[in-house]
Amino acid sequence: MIVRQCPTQTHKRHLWATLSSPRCLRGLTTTGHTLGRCLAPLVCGQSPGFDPIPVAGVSGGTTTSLETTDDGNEDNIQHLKIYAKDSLDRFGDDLFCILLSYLSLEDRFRCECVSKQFQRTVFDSETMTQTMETFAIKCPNIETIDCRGMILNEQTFILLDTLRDNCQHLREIYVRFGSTSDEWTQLLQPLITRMIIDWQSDPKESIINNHRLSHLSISSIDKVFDNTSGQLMAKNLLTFEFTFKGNDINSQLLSRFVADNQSLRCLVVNTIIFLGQNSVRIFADQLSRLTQLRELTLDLWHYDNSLADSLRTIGVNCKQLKRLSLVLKTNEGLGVQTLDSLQSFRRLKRLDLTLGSNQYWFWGRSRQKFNISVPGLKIMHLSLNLQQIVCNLLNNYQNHSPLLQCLSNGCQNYGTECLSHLSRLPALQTLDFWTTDLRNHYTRDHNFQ
Amino acid sequence: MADNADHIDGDDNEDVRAQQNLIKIKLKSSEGGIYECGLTAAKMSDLVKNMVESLGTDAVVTTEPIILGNEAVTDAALKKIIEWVEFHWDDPPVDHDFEDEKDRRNEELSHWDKQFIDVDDQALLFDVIAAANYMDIKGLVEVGAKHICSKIRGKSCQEVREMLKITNDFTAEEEDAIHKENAWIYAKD
Repeated sequence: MIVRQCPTQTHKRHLWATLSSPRCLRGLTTTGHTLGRCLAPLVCGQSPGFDPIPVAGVSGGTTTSLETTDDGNEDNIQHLKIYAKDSLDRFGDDLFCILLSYLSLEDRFRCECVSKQFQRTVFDSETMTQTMETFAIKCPNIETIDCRGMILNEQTFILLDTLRDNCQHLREIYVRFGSTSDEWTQLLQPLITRMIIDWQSDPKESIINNHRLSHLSISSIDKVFDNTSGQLMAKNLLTFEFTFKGNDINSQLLSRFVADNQSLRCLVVNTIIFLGQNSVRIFADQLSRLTQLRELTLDLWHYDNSLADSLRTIGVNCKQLKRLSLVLKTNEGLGVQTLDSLQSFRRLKRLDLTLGSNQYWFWGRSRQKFNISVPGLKIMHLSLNLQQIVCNLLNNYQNHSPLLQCLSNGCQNYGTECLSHLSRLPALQTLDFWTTDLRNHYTRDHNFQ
Repeated sequence: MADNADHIDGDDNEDVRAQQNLIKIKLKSSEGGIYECGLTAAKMSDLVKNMVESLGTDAVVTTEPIILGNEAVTDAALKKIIEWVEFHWDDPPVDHDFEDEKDRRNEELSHWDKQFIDVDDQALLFDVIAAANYMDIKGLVEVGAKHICSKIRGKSCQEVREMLKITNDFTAEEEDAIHKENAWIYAKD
């Protein structure tokens, strides 16, 4: 494309023409994604202070002539945009990004809404390292860094190191421990208080044996024991999450762990195998020694027989429990008494209950009408995912849970009757139904008082 | 001969660099103006440096001027750029082992650079920056960037738009949404 300059005018101003066609890209080094702000100067008489205007409009005037010699494709003209030479708009994203990379973090936020190009480039990832350093300088009062959601690499560790040096108030770092992060984790160890250890990595004793560590998530409990000496490496934790395996019962690992972690406030247990009757009982006995527990999450595959007793044991002994989350998967019928045993959790404020079966025919066979007696009068938050259970369990809510503020329900069938019961819950603030099968039911806005 | 050439091309020898800068090469702007520039100075532009290296020094000195076809390289911009490289050609080269990029980025511009870049004609300023970017003169792009950022510092969006003649292509709703997200930063003011 050739753009011819027209004769000099008084008040001449430079305009910049842009073609979206990449072959017209000259000059500015760009790397692909940037629109080519193509550089064809036009000179035309224009009053100062104009906005970028399509070149077609300009060439319609008498002062400018524009001639494309390559193909005469009129589309090109459609794509032409003109940028004033003294407008920052004339720059492509790449150069724009370089220009803005010297802004302070504060100015970046302040200027985000100058234009779309600003927004695109002002937090560009290439300058992110620098931005993080700015964080370190600008926010010296950072106390906690949580990078559990990140995969840590060399660069992030260098970054963490910078942050550690700059933030005098830094107390805690939360990390996900990967297989390659040994040496770095050791370096930062005194600050690491929460740690997730992936199933494939094998934590070294020195890493895990950290008296400041308070939150630990690990794939199996035997990993917190030293392979050679058999010593327990994690003591006095506040939160612990692990996957329970059948053989952990026999090897007494759980009982030893519990003995040294009486401080535990929150426990999350996942199981991946069906537990026999005996295992469930022993398991519950161990858990019931944790009297400080406030939160308990159990994801259990089990045979039904002993579960009611086991839950009751936990409920009676762990008196502080305020939050209980149960995921029960059975391949047998689930007795009503199992759910009744929840009554023994006296101080419970929040209950999340998911019942499921790994065999789809199960519920069909034993389609029961549950009357879940919501434990205690203190419950404020109830979440139920009951799949196919015919739902008349809402009936009792208003009697048993006058304080209920948040109710989340996942059932397949709601009766209108059941919905009308909801209107009697005086303290309800949040109501969340999730089902694929609310058809034929007329839901109306209940006036909760 | 090969040794000699190596020697001359070696950037670390100050004498050689000074000697080389006595050699003048010609640079031609997109508007057709031809300007002389010392070889060492001109080679601060990676674009020119690569051309010189591929053509050979002798060819560059004796033949046609180097054409800088980018339209940002106007006569006025090229004059400014030559002024800048002629001032900075004997800067000590950046030693990556000892100099932290972070420090350099945070460093204030020198008094000379400030005066150099503080031009009233914004079109010329942007020409210089775009031309420096085209010619790949990193130091000068940095000077321009620092200058622009220092002008943006502490200004409101509207002030920035007016100063740099940026078109606001947000709808009112979009702008409101961003304002809401960043409310904390405005609350400081």
